[in-house]
Amino acid sequence: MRAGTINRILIVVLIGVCVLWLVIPFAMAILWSIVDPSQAWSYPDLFPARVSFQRWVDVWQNTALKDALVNSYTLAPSVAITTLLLATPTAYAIGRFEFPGKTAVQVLSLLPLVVPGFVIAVFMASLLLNLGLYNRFASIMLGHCVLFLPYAIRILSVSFGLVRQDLIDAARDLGASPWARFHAVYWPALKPGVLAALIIVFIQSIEEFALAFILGSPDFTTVPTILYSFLGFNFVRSNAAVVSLILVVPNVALMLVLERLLKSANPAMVSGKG
Amino acid sequence: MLRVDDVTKTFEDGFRALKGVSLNAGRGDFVTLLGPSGCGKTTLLKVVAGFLTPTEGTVSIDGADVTREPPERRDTAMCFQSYALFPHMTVAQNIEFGPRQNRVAKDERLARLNALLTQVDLEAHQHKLPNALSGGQQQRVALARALAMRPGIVLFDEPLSNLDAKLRDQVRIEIRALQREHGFTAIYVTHDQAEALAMSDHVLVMREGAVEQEGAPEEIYTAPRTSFVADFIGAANLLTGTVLGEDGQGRWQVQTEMGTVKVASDEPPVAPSVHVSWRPEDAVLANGSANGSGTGENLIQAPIVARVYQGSFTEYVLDAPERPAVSLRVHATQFGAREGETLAFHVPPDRLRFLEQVAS
Ligand SMILES: Nc1ncnc2c1ncn2[C@@H]1O[C@H](COP(=O)(O)OP(=O)(O)O)[C@@H](O)[C@H]1O
Ligand SMILES: [Mg+2]
Repeated sequence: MRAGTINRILIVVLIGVCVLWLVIPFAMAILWSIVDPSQAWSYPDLFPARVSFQRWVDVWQNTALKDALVNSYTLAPSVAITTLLLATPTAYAIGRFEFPGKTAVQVLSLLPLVVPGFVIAVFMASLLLNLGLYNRFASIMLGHCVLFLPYAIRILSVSFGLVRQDLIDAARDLGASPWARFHAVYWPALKPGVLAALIIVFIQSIEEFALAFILGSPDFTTVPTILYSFLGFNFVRSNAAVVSLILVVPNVALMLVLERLLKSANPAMVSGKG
Repeated sequence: MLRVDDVTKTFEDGFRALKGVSLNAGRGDFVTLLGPSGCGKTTLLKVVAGFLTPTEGTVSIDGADVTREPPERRDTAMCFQSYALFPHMTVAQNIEFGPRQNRVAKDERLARLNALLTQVDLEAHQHKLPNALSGGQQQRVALARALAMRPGIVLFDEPLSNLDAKLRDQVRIEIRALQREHGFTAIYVTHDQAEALAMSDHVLVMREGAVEQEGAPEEIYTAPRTSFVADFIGAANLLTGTVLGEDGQGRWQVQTEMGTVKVASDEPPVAPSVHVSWRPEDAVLANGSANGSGTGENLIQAPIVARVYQGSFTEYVLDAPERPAVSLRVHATQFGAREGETLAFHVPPDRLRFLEQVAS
């Protein structure tokens, strides 16, 4: 009974926080994006006096948004796949073996998480210039890989830890080749983690600003750098709202997919290493 | 068929899990490795299966040295303690896994699958996932999966330890029946002495990485050679004895905690000071018993400390007459005596056994 009451209070608080932090900003963004240019939305009106999709059309036709979308959506999958490939060997070692200095490696691999993106971006930029890498796409991709490697390593090393040693042994005992062992034992345990890592890195890369701005400006735009340009010196709140929605909505969809994946991770896989 | 010769295994951390173990099993034999947890049973099984390479010694199967062959190239199949069933595959897919990996033709594969499903009584469950099965059923899938390989040797690592007592008896009988039918050689690991005695043709009692004694179950039970074996198999009474002399006909006078007794033994004691054991059920009650009025040898009288009714027999715990700190245990089918009374019984001299020397 008491626990029930506490639960109910917690749920109410949670819903309140969600409304305050998610629903209101989101609703505001939607409203701002449909304010008609002919009539400003100003105090004390609760809703825009006149609504239309004119802003959307404007932004689409008159800004570099199209290029930015193409850039972002080619960059993010490239970053996600490359990061996954780079993370796999380390994650395998951390997840499957005990070795001296394992804790040190784990901490070290998480280091980029605590260093601010701008710091990495500034030094990355000079490093890449020194290396003679002037291709903006390649430099941002490399920077993003470094930035998001910790997430991928973290997620994948947990997944590798879930692979049951007794199943690997059983598969070998029954004559399975390395490939068959991967297919029968590793992949079912790794699949949710691999997809989760891909989605998380993808979303992070889409949303990353500092590095994309410093390494990409002025001619390589991504969706967040476009957004920043609307917030800067020619500040247009409605245009910013349009770009924000374009940036956020696909990510929310991906988050929902991710949630699904994590739920479907088979609990039977979760067991010791034999 | 299977020969393990003087195998030693030292792990990377320097721990010696096997210290010169040898094992011989003929075709169709049921050989059990028995010993307390941590004595190296699983390690030995993994050496035979090929998951571990011994530090010294050899393993050969059918005369061929396989010491360095990987598991996938040995004629062995393992039944894992955890069953190790592939959780995302159905029962049928699990059983077919081995034949598929070994490119067995489809007709043959299906024939094996169907025969095994019938034998382990799982036809009705063949399309279920392992999670949906009971422990006993999972155990049978694991067995069928191993047998689908048509292995010459099947290795069992404590296969019954996750089952409840009743199911254990049933699966025990099933394993033995399948073994006779398929004719494979079984190497069976357990820490349960009753299981070892019931199932095996040959038992190896292991202790700290070495074989302490081996032989037929009857031999291990009736003629243990060390106090470790006597105690591990059926909890014998253990005494320390000082040999006083021999009468020339294989009968020794021995001074023990329960008095001076006669021991009839074909083999002389290994030292003047030896351990002596006898089984609780070998005592013959003197007072009120059908056959005894004190004419038998080795008459012992001891106060009853506790009396535990066990159904088919009653266990009495007694203080040893000459050293009350030592407990004696006697099993009897008469159960008139009470705590505080004195129990009088004989231990026939041929039921007393000399064990190893008393460490000084
Ligand atoms: N990989 C390993 N490294 C170090 N020690 C090990 C390893 N595997 C097992 N051991 C040790 O070897 C001993 C025997 O283990 P095991 O063969 O599993 O015993 P049992 O199966 O008889 O219970 C144990 O003391 C165990 O801790
Ligand atoms: Mg074991």
